[in-house]
Amino acid sequence: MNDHKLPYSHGESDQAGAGLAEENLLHRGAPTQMTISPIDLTIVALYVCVMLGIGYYVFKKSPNLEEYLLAGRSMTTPILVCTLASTYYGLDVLFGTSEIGFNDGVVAFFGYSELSLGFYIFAAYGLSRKLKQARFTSLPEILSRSYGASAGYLGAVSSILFSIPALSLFALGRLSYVMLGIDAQIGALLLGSIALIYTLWGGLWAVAITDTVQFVFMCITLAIAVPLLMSQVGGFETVAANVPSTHFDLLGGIPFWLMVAYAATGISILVDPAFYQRIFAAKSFSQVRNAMLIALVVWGAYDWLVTAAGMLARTGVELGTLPAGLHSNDALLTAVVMALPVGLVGFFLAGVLATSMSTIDSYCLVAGGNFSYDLYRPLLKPDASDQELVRATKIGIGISWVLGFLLAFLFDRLMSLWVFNASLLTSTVLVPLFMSLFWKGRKTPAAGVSSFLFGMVSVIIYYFGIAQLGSYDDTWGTYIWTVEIGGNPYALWQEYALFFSLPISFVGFLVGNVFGTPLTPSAETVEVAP
Amino acid sequence: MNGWDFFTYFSSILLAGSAIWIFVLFLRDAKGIIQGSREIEEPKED
Repeated sequence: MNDHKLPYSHGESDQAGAGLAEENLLHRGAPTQMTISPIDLTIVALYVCVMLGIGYYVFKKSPNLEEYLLAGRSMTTPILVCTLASTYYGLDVLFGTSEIGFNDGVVAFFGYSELSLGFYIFAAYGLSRKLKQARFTSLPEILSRSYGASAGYLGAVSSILFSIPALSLFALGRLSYVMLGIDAQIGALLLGSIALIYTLWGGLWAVAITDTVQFVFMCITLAIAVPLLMSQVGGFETVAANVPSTHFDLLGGIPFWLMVAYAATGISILVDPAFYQRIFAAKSFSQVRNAMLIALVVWGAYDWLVTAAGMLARTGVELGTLPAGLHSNDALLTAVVMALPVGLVGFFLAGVLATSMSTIDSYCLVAGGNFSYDLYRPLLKPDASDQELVRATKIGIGISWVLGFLLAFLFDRLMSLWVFNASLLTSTVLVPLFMSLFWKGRKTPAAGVSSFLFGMVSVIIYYFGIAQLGSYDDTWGTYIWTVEIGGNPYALWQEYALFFSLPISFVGFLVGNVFGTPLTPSAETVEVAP
Repeated sequence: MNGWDFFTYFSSILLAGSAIWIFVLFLRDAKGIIQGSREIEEPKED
């Protein structure tokens, strides 16, 4: 078997990395419905009730805007670890990494998963300190402080588009069919509405506390399931005897530039608005730094266990203990449900559902905050009261959820483009954002806007140009355009978009800086770089 | 038990241990934080 599909964009959030893992989960035909015991279903139902209860508990406290959007800037290390881990380790990692483990072996861990962790270390030490010092409320606010209102609006629209939870709602629908036997649209409507309700009620506190419950469920059930699965299969000696030997190649023969491209996808965490929101919500720089360093250890262990689960499931298929036609994307779910006893399966399934719900809640909240704080307040009502902004945030949350649902179930063609929005956000926002934070010299509004626009145009041209000029590669599951320069062939993959768009965005910054005029002191400009 | 088995057991213990430890710390912090954030904010509004 050589179903060597490209993975999700690892190192990104579930939202950003929603690519192939969720797409496969949703698009590859009729799924196999699982048989779940009544005890496990009861546990899942109780879990859903607990989520709503948490939201209602926070709702009764009538949070103000800072509490609603940023949990009063009082999050400590433990809850930050949980919410970071839950937000960034969603269905993409759960199903994507195990799928690569199933098809290709340990490269899922050593090749795809761990190379991008350097960005997290930079984020822990370099980025979070800057962001805490400047006391921002949202990612677009960083742009508007350095480049003026126009750049802030562009950043807000880009962030909202990125945050619309179309893929997550789609995946939730599919999961609810596979696990609970509910029609996908109705499942997404019911379970997605629960995520919507507790987010509307409780804001970031509700999101973070539910993330925490999910984090604990997933970590503990996975830590129990994989050793049980290993003992049922017969350990890695049995794995080695039943899977191709290439499954133990650490880097698995992946083309060098593709490896670099996947390591580079970790860069998207540096523009992810949900990540920024958690930094802004931290009580102090040291709390968020410690949380990220602890999360790195947790992520490493989690990555290996889902990789191992994929390899063990493959061995189970070869030995006949798992169905012969098992799709690699179903490997983890099927194998873990087989390995765990009744009761723990319920906790695991609740955790899987919550993994999808935690993405929906987090990004709806981000979109709501962008709508109220970055668009409604500066454009329509600069003197809006705190409660008006909370109300506007809730309206924004509702709009983003509805748009996500419509995209997920009514506009299939648009959905297939949605996997591209992480590259779009990175290409448009990264350069102006980092120049704002780390460049001490002159910055003009034109630089912010042109950097954004150059990045946007270049990534769109590249992405669709490769699709038009190249051909679809079935082995890798992507478009590749091979060009000859000086007699030598060079393969341009769609995944290389950032190699082109980021330098072009930087050129846009330089051009705008040369021709533009810096903001006047009376304008709302704050130098972030020390 | 080979090296991969050991690595898997080690990762399991690390993951479960971290989750339990973090959850205990979370329980210690959570209620106080939710109540405390409002108490901190109120004087500022005055």
